[in-house]
Amino acid sequence: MPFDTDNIAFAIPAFEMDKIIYSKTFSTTVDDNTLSGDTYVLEDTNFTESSPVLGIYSVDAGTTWTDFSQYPSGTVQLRPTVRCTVTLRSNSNLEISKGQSSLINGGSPYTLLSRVIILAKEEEPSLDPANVSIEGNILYSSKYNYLKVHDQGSYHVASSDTTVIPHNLGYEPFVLVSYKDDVLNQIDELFPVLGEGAGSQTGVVPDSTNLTIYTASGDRTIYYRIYKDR
Amino acid sequence: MIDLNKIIASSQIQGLAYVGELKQNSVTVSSFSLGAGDHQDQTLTLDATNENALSTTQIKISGMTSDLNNKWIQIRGGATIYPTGDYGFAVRTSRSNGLSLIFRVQNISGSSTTIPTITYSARAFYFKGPW
Repeated sequence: MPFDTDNIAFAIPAFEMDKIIYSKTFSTTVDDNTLSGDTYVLEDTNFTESSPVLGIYSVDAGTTWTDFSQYPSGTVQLRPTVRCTVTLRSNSNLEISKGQSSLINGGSPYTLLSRVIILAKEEEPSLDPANVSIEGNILYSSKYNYLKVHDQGSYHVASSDTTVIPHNLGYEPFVLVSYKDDVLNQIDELFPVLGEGAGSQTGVVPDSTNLTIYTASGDRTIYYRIYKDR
Repeated sequence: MIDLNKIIASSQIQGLAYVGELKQNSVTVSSFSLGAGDHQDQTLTLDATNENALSTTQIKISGMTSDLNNKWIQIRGGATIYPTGDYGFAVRTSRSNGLSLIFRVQNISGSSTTIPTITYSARAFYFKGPW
């Protein structure tokens, strides 16, 4: 195989960086219905439930992409017609859950494109390279800037909670916060529902000195990463 | 000292590489009256980039009476904010020729209410997917 000299780089980074250990594009035939709770298993990934999962999906052959996210019902709603979450289960299955508010293909099945990445979790002591599965050919390259981790950690909550994590960066950083439902054994992102009128709040609010994480009731483990760049 | 436990020795592994540095934009909507149950949407677009990219997105709403006023809130896909019992906000993202955000303000009071002058802001880092 010829070397692509643009893609050769070797450096020991000064800061820890996120490590993508799994990425894949899926094309899934799904039912066109208005029922919620349809679940489709994409693949057995070999990874466990506390690894952060990110991704996007498209229902129009890749013209428009949407973040995997929860869209809770409520007085004020702005939900996509087809809303999907992606979940890594404790049995290492990667699953998509789909709900939709109206038919988009006359009731006939349609294709859901999805692109998913899994990041190595903080406490990953070692990793069998045979389990790493990355689509495409891009490796670390000095051509690019990379997201650098300032701080990361996890904690457990059993009820509604507000936790303040100092970072003292002097600016509002980008963060990645997800939670594992310790009953359902699945990991998801916190969909922000915030404000005095929201009742029980969930969400992530970084300011120049602290990261404030609001979580609703439930047995949950919160995972957070605070990044250096702004 | 190098912590060997932090080294994952596989040439397959990559990081989250930027395809676009920080992009930020904002739009201001002047104060207006909103009837009971009515809503108004405002679209905000960040600079066009690879729509297949992942992003880390934050939004900020300035002008509302709330502890959340003028604070960045991390989102992925969307958010709902209820600053008062009179009106609420919802936001969601989509990508087609760049990252677009729709901001919705909706009257939830049961009678006409005045929405103050509001500035919607959004910012995002874009990351290169391996695909």
